[in-house]
Amino acid sequence: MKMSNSIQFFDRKKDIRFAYTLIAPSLIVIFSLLGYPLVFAFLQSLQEVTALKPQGVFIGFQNYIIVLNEPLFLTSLLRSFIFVVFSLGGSFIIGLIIALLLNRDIFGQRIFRALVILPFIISEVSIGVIWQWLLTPQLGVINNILKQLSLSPIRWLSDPFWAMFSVITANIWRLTPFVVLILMAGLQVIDKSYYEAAYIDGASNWQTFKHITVPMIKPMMLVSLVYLSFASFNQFATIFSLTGGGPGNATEVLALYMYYSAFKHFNFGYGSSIAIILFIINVILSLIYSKSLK
Amino acid sequence: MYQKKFLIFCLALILILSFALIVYAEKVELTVWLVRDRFAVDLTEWNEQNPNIKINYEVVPWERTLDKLILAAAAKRAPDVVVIDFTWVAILGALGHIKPLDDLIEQYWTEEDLNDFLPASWGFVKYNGTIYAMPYANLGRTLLYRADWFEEAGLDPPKTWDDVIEAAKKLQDEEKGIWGLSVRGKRDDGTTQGWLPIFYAMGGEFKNEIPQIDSEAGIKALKLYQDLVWKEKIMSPDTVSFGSGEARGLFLAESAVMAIVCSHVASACVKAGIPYGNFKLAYIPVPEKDMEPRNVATSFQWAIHTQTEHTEEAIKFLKYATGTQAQYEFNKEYQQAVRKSVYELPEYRQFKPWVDFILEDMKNMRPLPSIPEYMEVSGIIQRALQEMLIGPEADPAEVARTAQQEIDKAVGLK
Repeated sequence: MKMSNSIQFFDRKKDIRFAYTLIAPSLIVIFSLLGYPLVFAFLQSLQEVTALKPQGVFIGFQNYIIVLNEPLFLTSLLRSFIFVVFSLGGSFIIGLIIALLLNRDIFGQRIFRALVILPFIISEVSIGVIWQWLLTPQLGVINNILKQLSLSPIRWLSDPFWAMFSVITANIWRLTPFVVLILMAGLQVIDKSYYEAAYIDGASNWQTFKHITVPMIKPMMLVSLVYLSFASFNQFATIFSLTGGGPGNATEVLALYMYYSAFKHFNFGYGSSIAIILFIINVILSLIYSKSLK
Repeated sequence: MYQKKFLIFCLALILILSFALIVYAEKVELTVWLVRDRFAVDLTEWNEQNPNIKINYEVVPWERTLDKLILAAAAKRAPDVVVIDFTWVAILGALGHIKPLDDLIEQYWTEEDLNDFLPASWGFVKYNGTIYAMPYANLGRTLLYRADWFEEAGLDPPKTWDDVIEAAKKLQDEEKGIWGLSVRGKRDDGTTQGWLPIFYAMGGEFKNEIPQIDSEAGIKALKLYQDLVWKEKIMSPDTVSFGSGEARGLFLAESAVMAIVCSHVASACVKAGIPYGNFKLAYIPVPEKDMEPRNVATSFQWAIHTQTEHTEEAIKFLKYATGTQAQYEFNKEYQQAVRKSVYELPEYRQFKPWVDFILEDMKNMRPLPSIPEYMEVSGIIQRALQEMLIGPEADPAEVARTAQQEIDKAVGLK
């Protein structure tokens, strides 16, 4: 018995070693592509590095102290949370509804699936430009439609509230296809017999959704929520091309604040500290998701 | 016999190959960064005159050039030659990224050629008294106005802000979607570059190149933007989101009576079907009739990066790119030439019947602030302007005070 246990232990160790050997190349690529910049950014965040002082002077956590006391940073953080919550909620709910609809046998299902994915394959900058043309005040498509309907045009990009609404909408439009793809992948592997049994037992649509569909696609929901939160928290290109963070600072989320600090004010150390804080926030969020959806 | 022929043939082949290798080895390639593809100088003559110097153009858009240049320098991948905005001269000069050209200019340019450049253009290529680039094109702001509409309404050309407001109220038409005035208001450096001439024309001052926003002129100029939108209602409330495209687009689409835009938009008006005469150029408005016009401008110039290994070839290219023909071709339908000889060309005047106005206006111009911290100062001014444009509640004195404190901190005064 003891011999058998030892053999099992060594076999398991061998299996683990073999598994690590297989994933080692991927880990090396991930660590070098992501790990190196992260370590570099962290080290730079501990220095005063500007365009006029490129050599860098070690200042410890001074940059972090300045950042965390900077009102512009705190308001950017708040804006980021608002942006993430609404983008995440909107894209998840809309994505789930579309996935449920496209999971049925409807006419033109394949065409709809292809159309739904389109926003996901367009570059973020192009999305910003497209939405700019839709929302631009005098020449924009949407305001012209409103005019045709005898409604007042809306200041989509020049009113702080509507500007935030516009960037959230553009982001939802961009991210929803991903949610659709992931959730559809999950929906399609659910055994139909579960639903058949539920209907036979008299379960309503809501009950089957709650007790069969949701538990079965929970892992996919987690994946899509984690991706949505990362993608939204790190959103830069679409907002930059659509509003530039304006009007005023109304749409200046953390990624844009970081960009302006590093690449417009050339304060690389300060910008790096914001990048590290952003990274920590993303890690905390993904841990929270993992725990709450278990 | 055959052996001899074979030997001669081999010798000839060796000579040809050696020559080819030498030629190949001596061929220099210069990487030239352009802020827009329009800056690409025609290379037909260049290639004939300099077969061993190949020019490789790369377009790095103006909006990203400065930060990409700084990053490229850090990665030791900087271009040999680059078109730079005047506002970048100070920071690139301070960082030692662009070569001082005083000695090279003395070596490669004749006195006659140097005298062909407009005297004012040299002020746009210096930092701390050192020349860092060769002048190429001037880019000032101007007030474009619909002279035909003014004439119909019996209005005189606008000189003061009261003239502008009066004309705008008379000529704008809400139903037809025609605004009185369009300017840039979006959060980018172009907005600062569009406002500083207004500030300067108001009587604003620069102390050691630092704009004194917290002053009577500064507060007035900030309040002006706010009033034009919310009190006088001659500018669209969407001005806060207007970039270059929207500001000029409104005028080109005949949806604005006047526009404060770059002077080269005049050429775009002609292309858009608005003949000169129907539109005209005027100085940046002043508060009082008896005040002299003042303007703040930027410019584009050619610089050599200090990381180049081909200084001689680069300077040769600079000479070619800033020559009369190249300046004429670039500026005839775009920006303003900085060579006297270009202005003497009758064909240049045909393209730009307004050149005399431009030459006069250049006498009123000062360059944008020549400080390494310019981009940060510009960002502060942009935020201040956006606050004024968003709503009527902002207090211009408070905004000016806060902006000045931030500017002083950014340039190390506090």
